[in-house]
Amino acid sequence: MRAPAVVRSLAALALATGFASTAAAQGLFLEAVGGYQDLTGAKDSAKAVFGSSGGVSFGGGLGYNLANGFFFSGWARRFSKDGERVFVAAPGSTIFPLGHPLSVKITPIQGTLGYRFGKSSLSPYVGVGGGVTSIKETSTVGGLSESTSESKGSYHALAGVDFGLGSISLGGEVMYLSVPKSIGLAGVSQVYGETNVGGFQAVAKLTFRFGK
Amino acid sequence: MKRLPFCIALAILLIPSATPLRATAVVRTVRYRVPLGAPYKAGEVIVMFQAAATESVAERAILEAGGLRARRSVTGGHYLVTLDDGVSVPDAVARFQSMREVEYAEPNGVVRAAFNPNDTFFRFQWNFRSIGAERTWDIQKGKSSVGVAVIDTGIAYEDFGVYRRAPDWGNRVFLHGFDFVNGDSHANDDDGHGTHVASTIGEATNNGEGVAGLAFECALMPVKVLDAEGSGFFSDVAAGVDYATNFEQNGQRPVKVITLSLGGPSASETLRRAIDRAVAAGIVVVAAAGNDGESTVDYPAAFPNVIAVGAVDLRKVKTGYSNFGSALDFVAPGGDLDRDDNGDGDPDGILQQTFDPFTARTEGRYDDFAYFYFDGTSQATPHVAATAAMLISQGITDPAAVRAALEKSAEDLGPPGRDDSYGHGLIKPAEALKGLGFGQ
Repeated sequence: MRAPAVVRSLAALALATGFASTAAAQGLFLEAVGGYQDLTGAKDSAKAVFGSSGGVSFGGGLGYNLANGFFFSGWARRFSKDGERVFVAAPGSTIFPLGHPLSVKITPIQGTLGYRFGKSSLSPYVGVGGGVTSIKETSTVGGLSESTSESKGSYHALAGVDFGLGSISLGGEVMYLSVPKSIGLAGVSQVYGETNVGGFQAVAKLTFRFGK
Repeated sequence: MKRLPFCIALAILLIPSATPLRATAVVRTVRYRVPLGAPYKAGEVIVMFQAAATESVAERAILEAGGLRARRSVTGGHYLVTLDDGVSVPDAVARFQSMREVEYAEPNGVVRAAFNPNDTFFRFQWNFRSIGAERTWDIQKGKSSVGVAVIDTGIAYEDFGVYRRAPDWGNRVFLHGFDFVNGDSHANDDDGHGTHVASTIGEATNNGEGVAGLAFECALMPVKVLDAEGSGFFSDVAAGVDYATNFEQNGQRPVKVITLSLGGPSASETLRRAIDRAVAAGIVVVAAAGNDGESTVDYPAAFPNVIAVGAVDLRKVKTGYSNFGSALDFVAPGGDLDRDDNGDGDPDGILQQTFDPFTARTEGRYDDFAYFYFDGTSQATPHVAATAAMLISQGITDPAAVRAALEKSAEDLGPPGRDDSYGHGLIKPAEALKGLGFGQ
């Protein structure tokens, strides 16, 4: 009985790319990510101006796998969302949209120290790290645009799994990013008493490895 | 049954000292001097960094030069730097200019806003400049679907009998009002006060004549409850409030704001209940604090559901006549006819159109229109009513939220925080209309 054509094709691809190699091979790696970010630390503020607390996040990074399972990486991701300025008097009270367009961009630039478990093609990992997160907000009111920009220290913890396909691996990752005292002095974040633009991320990964 | 009159402490009492400003006389005799403040905004500088300078370099330079925080222009790429206390603008500019990474640095000079109405005598309306009206008009001018009921001595809004429509209304929408003094549906003004108050809200603006109004695209409703002497009764005021509250047109209730430039020292349960009904119906009610210079606010301003308004002069200092106390919510320009702080040769009153009250009293004529300076908490109140109307036009439709928006945006005067002389401070319509961003 012959295997279906698609299975045969996948098997051929696996052989061609060195399926037997692990996702954790020593050496440099380059990764691109894309997925969902929830502004967990500023949920009410985000819902007020954007209508929801989540959105798309994407980015990339560069890292190095050590032989003993540890790895380190540096990466940046971008969360961007458009909404409008509102008025809200107090937490729980009615939100009044005012029609002034608003845009927020959150860009964490982080370093991670992690550890991979096992050396098979399926490679779970965990990591922690820190860096800075840039927060930019732009709004236009009555024909005038105002923009604020600042960078705040941030830290994160993450966990994921890579599935090695030779020099390429696919994977998934969840992360919690914390950016303490990054908001809360003005705007709706002050009303809601929210001070952290961080939150959970769930992303898909594509990794290119250049090592042994 | 004898009805108890209540004292109206408003500009009616000040009319003998009001200064009539004739259109022709102004053009010929009044020299306008541009009110000079600081040529630049204190505590701020504009900085442009070299193209090669990264954001982290810019942030470090800003801190080194005494900057507290900075906003970057989206289009221009320059930074608007807020300086730390104790760092002067010239010092900061010099520090920035000495840095290699800085292309240029300059003070944030004072300029005029984009909307600069061409009304002939707008330049005498210091009151609008002091609350940032020009910037406000870039954002909102009011909507004709939002009505402001002016419960007062009536408005010169129509040609009817001996009454004439004031000349500078333009195409202002007037909702169908009522005269509770004479019991008819022609709420014409026989005193001049109500027309002046209404003009602060809705006088035709940018039409090349007269002066401006603050929410000049909103609709006005004339409700007459005060007679030609400026006196009235709680029963009529309550009836006027109920009339405005229940008024329907095309299946809608267009009155969203009630302004009461009147008051007295005693409370009325009848009026309080009428106001409660209005607020429950989603109407913002604004009233004058009173002109006795006393430490208690007049009624109905003192009712909790009413926004109580005191008066400041051109210097943003509480006027001597403005009542104050724990019930005071905000201050707005009410002027002071005994002062001329901008040195323009005219008293620092509030300039709006109305007919000559002297001619009205002595000759029974209501067609002698001119632009008059009045002062009083009566004149301050319509500034707040107009701002409330613009906030509603922008989308803040709940009375409590309107009050909260005014509170959050007010310019704090006097001791920090709310105080009995200035309430939450001077209203700032543009700031209120701007609303809240995510973190800014």
